[in-house]
Amino acid sequence: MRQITNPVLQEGIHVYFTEGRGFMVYFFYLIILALIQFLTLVLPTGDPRFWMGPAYLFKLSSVAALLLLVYFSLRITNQEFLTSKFQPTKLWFSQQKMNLTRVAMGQISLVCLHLLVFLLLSLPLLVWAGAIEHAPVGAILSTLLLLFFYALTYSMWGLFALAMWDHREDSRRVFIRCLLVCLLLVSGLLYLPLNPVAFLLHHLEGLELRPLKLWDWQWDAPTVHFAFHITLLVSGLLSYGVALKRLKEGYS
Amino acid sequence: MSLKVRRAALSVFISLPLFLTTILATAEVRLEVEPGFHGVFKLGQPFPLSVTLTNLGGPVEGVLEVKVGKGGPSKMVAPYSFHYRREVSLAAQSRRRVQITVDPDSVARPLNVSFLSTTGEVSQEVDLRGHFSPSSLILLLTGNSGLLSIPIAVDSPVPVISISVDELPSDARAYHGVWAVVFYEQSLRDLSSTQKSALERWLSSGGRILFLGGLHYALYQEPSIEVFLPVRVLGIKRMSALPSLERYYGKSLSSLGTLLVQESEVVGGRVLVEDEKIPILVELARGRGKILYFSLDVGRPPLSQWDGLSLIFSDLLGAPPERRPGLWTSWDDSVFSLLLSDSTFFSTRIPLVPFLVSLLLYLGVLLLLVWLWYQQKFSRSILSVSFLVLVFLFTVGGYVFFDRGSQIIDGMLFSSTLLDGQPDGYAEVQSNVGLFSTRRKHYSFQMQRGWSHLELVQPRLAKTKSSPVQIEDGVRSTSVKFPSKEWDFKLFRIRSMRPFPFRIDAARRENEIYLELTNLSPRDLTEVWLIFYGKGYLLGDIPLGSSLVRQFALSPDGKQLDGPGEKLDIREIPFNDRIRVALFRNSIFPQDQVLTRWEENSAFIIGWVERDSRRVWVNNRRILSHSYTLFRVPLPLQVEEEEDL
Repeated sequence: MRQITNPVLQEGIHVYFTEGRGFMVYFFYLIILALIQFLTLVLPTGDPRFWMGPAYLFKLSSVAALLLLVYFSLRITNQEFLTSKFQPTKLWFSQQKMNLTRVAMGQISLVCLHLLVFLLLSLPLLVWAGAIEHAPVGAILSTLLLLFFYALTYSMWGLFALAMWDHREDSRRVFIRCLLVCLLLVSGLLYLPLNPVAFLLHHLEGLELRPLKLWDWQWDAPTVHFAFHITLLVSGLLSYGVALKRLKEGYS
Repeated sequence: MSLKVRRAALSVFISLPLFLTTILATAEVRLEVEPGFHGVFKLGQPFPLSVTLTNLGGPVEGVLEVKVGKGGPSKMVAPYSFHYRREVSLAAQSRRRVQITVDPDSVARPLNVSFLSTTGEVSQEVDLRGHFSPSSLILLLTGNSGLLSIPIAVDSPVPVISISVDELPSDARAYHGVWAVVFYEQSLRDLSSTQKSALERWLSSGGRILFLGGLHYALYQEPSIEVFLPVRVLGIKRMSALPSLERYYGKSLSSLGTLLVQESEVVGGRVLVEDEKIPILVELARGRGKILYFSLDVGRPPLSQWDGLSLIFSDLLGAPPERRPGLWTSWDDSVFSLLLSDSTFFSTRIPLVPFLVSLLLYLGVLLLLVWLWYQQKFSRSILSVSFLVLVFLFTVGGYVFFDRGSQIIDGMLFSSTLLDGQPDGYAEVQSNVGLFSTRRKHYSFQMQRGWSHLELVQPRLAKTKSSPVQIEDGVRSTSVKFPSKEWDFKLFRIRSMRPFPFRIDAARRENEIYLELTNLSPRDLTEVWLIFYGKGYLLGDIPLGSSLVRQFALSPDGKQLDGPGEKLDIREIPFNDRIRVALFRNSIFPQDQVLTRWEENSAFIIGWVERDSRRVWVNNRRILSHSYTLFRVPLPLQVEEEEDL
């Protein structure tokens, strides 16, 4: 088996998995998701079209998983859990003499690993919900891919905050919370298809979102949605790179 | 012997290419489409669409499909389409005529007729404009069309279409735009059983058949025509005077001289006019329809040249048929959702306990793995692999169990039927059907043949075009197929006319009302109520074949009764079943509507038909089926004392 040589990734795996200190985060994620699913099945709702929990179990579970995944992945990338166990990013440059790409690759790989574990843990729950709702297999798989994509996109900004405010933990906390609220709420207010929750629900319902019309141009909603999120991902990645570079230059 | 074998081999060798050429020849199918009867149909009514398929190639099997646009702005609902389908097999170099009854909501939209087979698709668009008539049609069937003309004339211009027996529809719905079918010297030997049953069904639902006497009386003695005739034709007679007929119509026939009259004896019905004990005009009621027999030969002189014929035809044809809109019940997404919300249907089928057990088991095993991880009793790699195996097993096992193994059904077919009975023993049947689907797939249900109207009920807020509904007629039933999304439903309204033998003998004796209700139907009738001027009086159950007798004291104003049993407002009538109550109060007699809908007759009998014969059903065990049938028979009250009401 190939050994992991990246020290940043090694450190993350050791703290979160080998020592088992990250299990609590996964436990919170899983228990909240399970509780939401159970309540969806049990609690009656007032809307006559909403009379059945099973009919909306997968949709609601997916939305819950999306929000929880984005929230927890942002907090993990931001090193809000077990802060003292990680050495500051600047030390990778100053003491370990690591180059920028290696540090970035280590941190991004760790984020991806976390997201995979999150998805693996919630896989049975989401698949059961899909089976109960009789959602097509394609819809279940596409939802899992979307969850990974959204979580990765938003996590990039968590990594950016980590590099930007390496020493200022409070600034990072404020930033990622503002980012989450702005992106989720303001995007929905400006143009609903930009919002990942709205898009996911419409996608699972098989409904068409209204296209974006600007002057004489018109774009369909999925194009606008993915263009926006890919831009967000790329800009997050670039900003993270720039912030890391600044951090490295500041201590070199 | 060897010579014979050689000859046989040679003949096979020679004929084989020819045979193979015929078999393998690419089918070339051409379509000829004719809407209505010889290109004419009544606007707003279903009509036959005759498609002649000519195959110029090898044998071919395919599906004939007619796409009919429904709904749209004219009906104030979102547009949808019905696809009428029929499987057709064509022999090599053959020609076949197929008739499909269609019911477009607008003539502005063309019909699309296509034949789909493995070799390809042939399609044709049919413009309906220029084919419709605002008035009902009269169909004339005569074996002597080349020699004689039947001067059918009535006050208003009515299209009289001369057709042959093989052009008579096999579907009663195709007759909806027909005023009357007139037979004159026409053999019905070639009438198929389906054509006969369609004719009888149309007749019982209010159709009119007119038999005109002719010189060739032997044609009227065929068993195929005798089943319709109210008389048994014995021969032909020349008569110089018909005083009764002259009196009946107030016109003199003396100038015509000798007339040809069919001699006959009555086997059923009512003689309206007879002369010298020979029935001239006989009327026979069949359900809501009528068969009239006129024994004079109107196709030959001198009667064919008589100016009083229009008077006779006006009388014989009667008024043009009027299709009542019927007593529509409320049937929309809100009513259906309300019914579905009843726990009877679904609550017990939600896999709550298995889901909870699975959740706890999964979390428990995960916690065990975490504990083992912390304890370091096993190597980390073994525990990591165990975690992956655990996730895989729970995912796959749970999917299989919850998708197929749990109690969640594939759907539910719900039908609520109102039998609007009439004293003639027939009932207008209005079935509200809802098919609820829990999967994204094609669903289908069957309905009894003989339906007269099918409509898709669109959601009130629907703006987008609904997916097409396929309608396929089978031997005993009609199949309705449509794609559906998971946790969705489609609503339909179906109408038909069926016998409902429920006899009411009622009499008013001074200040009391006497009722005798006899259930001649093959089902028990339960929770029967008398509704009298907005009040309900419980009568009880009437098992099949039995009678129920009740007497009520009548108030001085004649609008209130006093007698045994419960007396409630119509809106408060209780039933033993929650669904029955919900249906009665929300669909059959909605609470927000005033009594006017039911005030056509201010007194009537209502009750439930137990285990009613299936009108709508599904051939799928994973789709539940629930049906409810309420009957309603008016109680005529206009008759005087001591007479049957």
